[in-house]
Amino acid sequence: MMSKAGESPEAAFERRFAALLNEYAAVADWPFDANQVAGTAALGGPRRRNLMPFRAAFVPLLIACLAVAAIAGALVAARLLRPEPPPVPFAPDEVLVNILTDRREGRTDVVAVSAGDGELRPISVDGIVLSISPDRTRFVATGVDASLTVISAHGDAIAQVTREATRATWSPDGRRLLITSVWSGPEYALWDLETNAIRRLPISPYVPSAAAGGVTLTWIKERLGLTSWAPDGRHVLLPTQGGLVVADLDGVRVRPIPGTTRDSVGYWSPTGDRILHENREDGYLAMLSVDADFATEVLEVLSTGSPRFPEWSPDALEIAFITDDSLVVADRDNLAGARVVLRENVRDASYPRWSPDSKQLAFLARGIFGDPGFAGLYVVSREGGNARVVLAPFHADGSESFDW
Amino acid sequence: MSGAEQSLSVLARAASGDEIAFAQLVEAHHADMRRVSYVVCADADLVDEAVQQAWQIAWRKLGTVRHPDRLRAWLVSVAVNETRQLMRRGRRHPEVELRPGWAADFDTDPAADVRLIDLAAALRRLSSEDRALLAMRYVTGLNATEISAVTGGTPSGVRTRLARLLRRMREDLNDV
Repeated sequence: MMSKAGESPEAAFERRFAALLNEYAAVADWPFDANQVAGTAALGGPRRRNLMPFRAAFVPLLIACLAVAAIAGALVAARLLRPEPPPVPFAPDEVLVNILTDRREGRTDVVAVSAGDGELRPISVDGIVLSISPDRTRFVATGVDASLTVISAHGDAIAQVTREATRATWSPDGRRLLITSVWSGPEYALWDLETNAIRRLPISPYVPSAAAGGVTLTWIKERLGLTSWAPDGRHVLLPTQGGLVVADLDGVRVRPIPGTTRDSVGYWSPTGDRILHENREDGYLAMLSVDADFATEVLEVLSTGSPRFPEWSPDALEIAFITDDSLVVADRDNLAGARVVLRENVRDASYPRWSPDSKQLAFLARGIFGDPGFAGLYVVSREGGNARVVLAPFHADGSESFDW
Repeated sequence: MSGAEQSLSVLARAASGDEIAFAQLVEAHHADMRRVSYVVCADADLVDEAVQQAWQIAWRKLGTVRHPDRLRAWLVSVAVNETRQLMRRGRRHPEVELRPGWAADFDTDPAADVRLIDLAAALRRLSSEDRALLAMRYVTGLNATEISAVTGGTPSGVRTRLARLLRRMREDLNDV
């Protein structure tokens, strides 16, 4: 490295040493290891091969070898140049569900269930589904060791982050995952799947209250850590101790959302002009408008029936959510006018999931046969009517995670 | 409200048990504490533990910090103390830890990675106290006065030790 003009050798070393020490110390910024998982090619390009040069002792042998090499080279080139087949997505009617296959060991397998005929397709073992990518070619799941793995629709592991991660949400373009982790204190991080780089955002999700004379940073409430991307792919909505904040991808706070608290979760609409604010502690939903500068205005508040677990329809026109005793769907401009879609088996249901075409809803009902360990997967039209049992009963691990 | 008044207000609120203010302090100083702790112990797992404990101490003793401009140095020194205590308790010694990113960097600049490995080896030959001193000065940017306020001694004494350490580092890293 060059010295600056007029700088003494000692001062130049001090400057270089400071830079080097900071690079070394940056290991502590993110102790996660991101790996592309061996044996798959979905994220990596074809491997380069080292061709060893050789010397010919005899001309005829050289010619023969050259001919063989030319043919082999052509074959290799043809293989390398052949474009990768496009990844196969999940079928539009496939819902990903966790099934507890070994209660004693706590092993949870992931299966794809057809919402049409209930046909099962095993995808992977030992994982809990978090969410399907926007293009439906991959999903992200946590493993028993809480590592995070991106898996193809056929069950091939593509990439993995070791260490604890509890939630991950896809960017709208499917190139990044926003991770919520509890490894070294709650933290948010961005995982770029194309470069495999991970960096922590300088925003802490939560600092819990003092308990038993101390404070711990490793505890996170179940409902917190739910993040949401703006459709622009450049901003995210993060729950923090002080309420919801809009942050950019460097973790810089762009704007806090007024009226939100540490018990708030935000859901950005697919169109970007609304945020649905859920406060499960106080039991209400609030619809907010969002302008270009992320200033918000409360349009409507709904508190009757303890509304919870809201989910935007992919077409951004409606919101499905659970109330005291019903699965309901509301127009985005009229939460209070929500229509009941279903009253049966929804008492212990959590997040409903929309089908990609916004025409149906799936939900997991727990407590089938009076046993909280059994669950059923139901599908119902957005217009209501009888719910179809797609998969029931099955052993569930108690996690709320499934996705359509 | 000026920046200094704002810092004072956040510190006062956090010291009186305001969790939101405390969260602001965590956001502002957590990364610095982790980095310094890592330079001292070179063990990411131990860093997690040490910084956790440091925040527990901070939660209890924040009220003893009277001036917000001394807060950063104080928090970093608490993290250093916890790190050193954990090292002593577990008889852990710093080890050269290669992160995956370093390996990836070999594709572009192998020399940079060799320098990091050399640096890790050179740091390992220092006492934990000396590593902490280097980290407080060059990672968090604390000056000699701030360092001496939390480690004891005088600013000139800190400057002398730093100069000696830098000379040693220069020799160990063959940077002559």
